[in-house]
Amino acid sequence: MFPIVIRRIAVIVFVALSLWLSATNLFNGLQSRRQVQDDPSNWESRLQAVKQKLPAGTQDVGYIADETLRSQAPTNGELVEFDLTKYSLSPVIVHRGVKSPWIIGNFSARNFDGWLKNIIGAYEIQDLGSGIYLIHKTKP
Amino acid sequence: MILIAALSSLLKIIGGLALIHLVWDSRQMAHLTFKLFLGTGAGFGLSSILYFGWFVVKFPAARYPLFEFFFFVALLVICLAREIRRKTDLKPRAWKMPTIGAWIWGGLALVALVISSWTFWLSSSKNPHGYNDAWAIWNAAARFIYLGGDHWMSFILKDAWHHADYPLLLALNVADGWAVLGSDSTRIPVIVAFVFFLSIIGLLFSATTLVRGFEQGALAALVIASVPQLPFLASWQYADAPLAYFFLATGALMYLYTLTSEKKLLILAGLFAALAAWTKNEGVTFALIALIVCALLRLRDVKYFILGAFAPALLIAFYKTLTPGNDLFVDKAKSMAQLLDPTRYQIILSKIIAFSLAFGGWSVSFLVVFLCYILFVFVRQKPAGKLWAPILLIAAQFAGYFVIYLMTPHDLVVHLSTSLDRLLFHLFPLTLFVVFMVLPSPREIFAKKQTG
Repeated sequence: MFPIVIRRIAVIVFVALSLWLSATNLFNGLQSRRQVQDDPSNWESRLQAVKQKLPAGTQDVGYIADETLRSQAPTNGELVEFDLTKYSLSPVIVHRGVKSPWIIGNFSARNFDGWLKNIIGAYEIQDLGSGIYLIHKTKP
Repeated sequence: MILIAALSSLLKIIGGLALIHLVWDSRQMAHLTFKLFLGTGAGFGLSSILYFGWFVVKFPAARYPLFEFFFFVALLVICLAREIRRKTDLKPRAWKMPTIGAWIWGGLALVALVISSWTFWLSSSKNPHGYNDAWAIWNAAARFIYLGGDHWMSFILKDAWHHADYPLLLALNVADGWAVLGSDSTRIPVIVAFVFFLSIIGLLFSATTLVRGFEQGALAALVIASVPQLPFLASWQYADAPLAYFFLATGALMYLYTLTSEKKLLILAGLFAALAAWTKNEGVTFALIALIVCALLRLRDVKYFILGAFAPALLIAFYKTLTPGNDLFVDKAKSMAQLLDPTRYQIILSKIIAFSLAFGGWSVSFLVVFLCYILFVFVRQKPAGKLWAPILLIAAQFAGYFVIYLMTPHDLVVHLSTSLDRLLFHLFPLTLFVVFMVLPSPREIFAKKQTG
């Protein structure tokens, strides 16, 4: 057991250190407060046009993206974009694939028309900007 | 709008407080703060159970907020009526001036609370929708419940949101808040997260104060509030902070039961353990462990624990019949084989050490600093009651996490890297509670006349 003076100093040092490190952390946060990366809000703005253009009563939509063309497992960033799409369009259910009559395309470049035609045949497409496309299968 | 959101949460807290007081009718003023912070979890837990039950019996979703309002008001009226019938002495006790030491420790804890709250709001303003799992799982489920209305249960098996098998305490409370507000504002999940953030600090403070005095309670509150991981994790809007709260409540109630032998505390411990299971799947393991610990404490009193846990446990069992299977148990043969793989033990142990050293979010290791503090102030003294009960809860739950990592079908390193800090946090408030039960309090250390 340490002498009482040492024990008292230990309490004071521990409390001071706790408050200091906590305050330092807050100070760092305040300095970087302008570096906001609110992905869900940005993604919701990006998909706002999709929400407006989907017919009322649509229960589920398909989802295709760059990773679908590559036929590879999606990267972390692509997984996040899929999750954000599901979140933004709720309560419409978003499934990967082209089974639903309405499909959301999320592509970095417009290089998928040939592939899409092979897969689903006839379709109508609306370019909603920022790499987002709303595709409607015209033949079931 | 934020006022309506806050009032909706306040009614749940008052209703929860009434529920706690109806079960545990202790009239000691010292118990009031503890009951208040138990009331937050009980209120949110009860609200989620009622809301889920409302959907199960297929009542119209739009009518629920009004029902909940009247339910909690009725609970409060019943509680007050009982107090009046018992002719409770409502005369305030003679007010005693707190000591200078109490003012200082209270003030220091308050400073830590302000810094931590500020950190919470700063982080929330940067991520109003929460962090990744919030919008992939918890708030996504809440949106489907709120926007799906009467038909949301049909979404469960349609893979509408990730991990639809996860329990719904958090999502139902967020959805309920949106139903009261009439829009899916991000303020509701932020307020729910803030309530649990405050409740962790408040519950640790009040439970520690009950046993070891105000100064020790204030120091415990100061320590947990100083760890940035608390405001960050809470502001992410995950279910991990609420789960840590329910673990703490269960452990503290069990320990208080060993001190007082009040069986009503075991009813509450059962309730909070079951609410942990209704918060996150890890809580199911915890509730079972708590049941065993309760049996080890006194077998004939287990019925009180089961009584408290019964309603939420029934609900969870029913919910699990509706949900898809858990993704951790897809290939049982492979998982069992992994139990015998020594390299997995090595990887998990090394990650546990690394994560424990980095735990807390300080620029220096919180663990090392805290261990040094313990080393300097520790005095050998036998704690009152059976402290082994909460210690066993912590150790067994930790062992459970270890086994899950051994068996996980996911990439082990990725699984550890994305979850271990949160799992450590689940047990952190209860661990602090146990440690502060053993350590001498500031009042003892700074007493003019030293004893022992």
